[in-house]
Amino acid sequence: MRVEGRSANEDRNMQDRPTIDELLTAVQSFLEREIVPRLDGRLQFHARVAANILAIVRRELQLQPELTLKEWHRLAALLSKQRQEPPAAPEGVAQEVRAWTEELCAWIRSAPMETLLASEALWRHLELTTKEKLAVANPRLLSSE
Amino acid sequence: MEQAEFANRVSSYIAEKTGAPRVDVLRLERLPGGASRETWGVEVRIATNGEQKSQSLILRRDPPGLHLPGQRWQEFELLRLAHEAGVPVPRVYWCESDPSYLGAAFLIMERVEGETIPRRLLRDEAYREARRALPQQLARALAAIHAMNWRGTPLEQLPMPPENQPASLFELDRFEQLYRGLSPDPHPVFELAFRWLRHHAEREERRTLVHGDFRLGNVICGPEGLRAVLDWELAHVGDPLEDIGWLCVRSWRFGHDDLPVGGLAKREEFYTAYEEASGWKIDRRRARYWELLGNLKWGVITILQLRGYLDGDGTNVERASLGRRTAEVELELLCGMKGEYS
Repeated sequence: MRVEGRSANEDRNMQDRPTIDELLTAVQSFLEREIVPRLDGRLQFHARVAANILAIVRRELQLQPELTLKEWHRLAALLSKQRQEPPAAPEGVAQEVRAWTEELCAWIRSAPMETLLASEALWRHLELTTKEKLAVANPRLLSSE
Repeated sequence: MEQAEFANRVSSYIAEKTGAPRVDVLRLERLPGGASRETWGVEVRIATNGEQKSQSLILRRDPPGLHLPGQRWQEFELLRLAHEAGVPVPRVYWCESDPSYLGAAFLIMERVEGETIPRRLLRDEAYREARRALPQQLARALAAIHAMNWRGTPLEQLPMPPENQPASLFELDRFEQLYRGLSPDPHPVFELAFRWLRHHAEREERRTLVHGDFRLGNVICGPEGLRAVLDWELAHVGDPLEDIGWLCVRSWRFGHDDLPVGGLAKREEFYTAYEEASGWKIDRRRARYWELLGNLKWGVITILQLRGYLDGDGTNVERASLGRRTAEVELELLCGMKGEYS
């Protein structure tokens, strides 16, 4: 369980500062400010992509535990699971979300088209899940809408 | 084969074909891209009756070991017939399926100079006039491609959907098979999009030659605009609206989302130009259907690229980040399905 007010880093181990996020921030800014301006062409493009990948990793570390829990609750409701509480371990939640998403795919493949078109909960779930993925991968796309 | 030996063989091949007493290869360089097919730039000087003529050529060769003479001939015939039909394409000179010359089948064509990188075409000051002219020029080129006669020509060998079903189902089958075979993750939005597009499939109004990959990136431009349409590997017979939808796929806009047609034009401007050039009315709703299908195809291609990264050595940052772009396509698909193409 996460304890309020403590970072994920403090939870998991007893390493000294900087935290994971602080370390990643240092490398990301180094790439953006020092490396990218000194390169050109393909290398410059790849350095920019590398900095962006670090930004994705930072957002994922920060947001994913909560996003996966939200997805778990939505899938439980959508697939009428009798479970009230998600597994305690984050890995357990992620495993269940994956298994249930495969179940959802199988349902989409086999359900009558009219049912799929009429299921507001399905469309809502897909929209939220997609936007949650983008909140990690490319949040700029969400703000431009 | 060493480069010097390769150059020798190229010059004697051209001498044999032209009957010129002397052909010198001045330069021979491997050009980037084209994993499935080597592309070489060749500068030659051809001497005939005391006259000397320099020429820039492109040589495309199957990788040694992957001998596909049928595909070279298909590309040759496509380019030859496209030229006859008035489509701007490089002139093709020779196609050779005998591997004794260069170790594999190859094709030699004119080298058209110009820019192919979309971001430069959409951004650089040098291409301001090109950007103004391109919507009309692309519409005319596409209309000319769709007017090409394929029945009773070698183009009848191209992939073609069964006569009695919508051409879109043929495309959906191919890409659904790719998706099922390659995706490491479940994608409920793609599952829904496949169902949705099958449900809304309609028989096409006309069946024409389809370029299959018509977009910026696959055309050569100069400051004045379009010079040549390239990359005919995905050409097939189908619904001409497929090319129009594909040109409008979000990924080719490079951030210029207010200009859906390749970051160059509004849809209506392009549709109207195509209608004037072709004499065919575009069913707007069906053009948007094909645009949605195009976005789904692009989504499957991002998974294909991810697969390449996962199966590779894991060092290419560009490919690594592509897997995380699949969600952008999913958002586009959801908006398209919900808004009924709004």
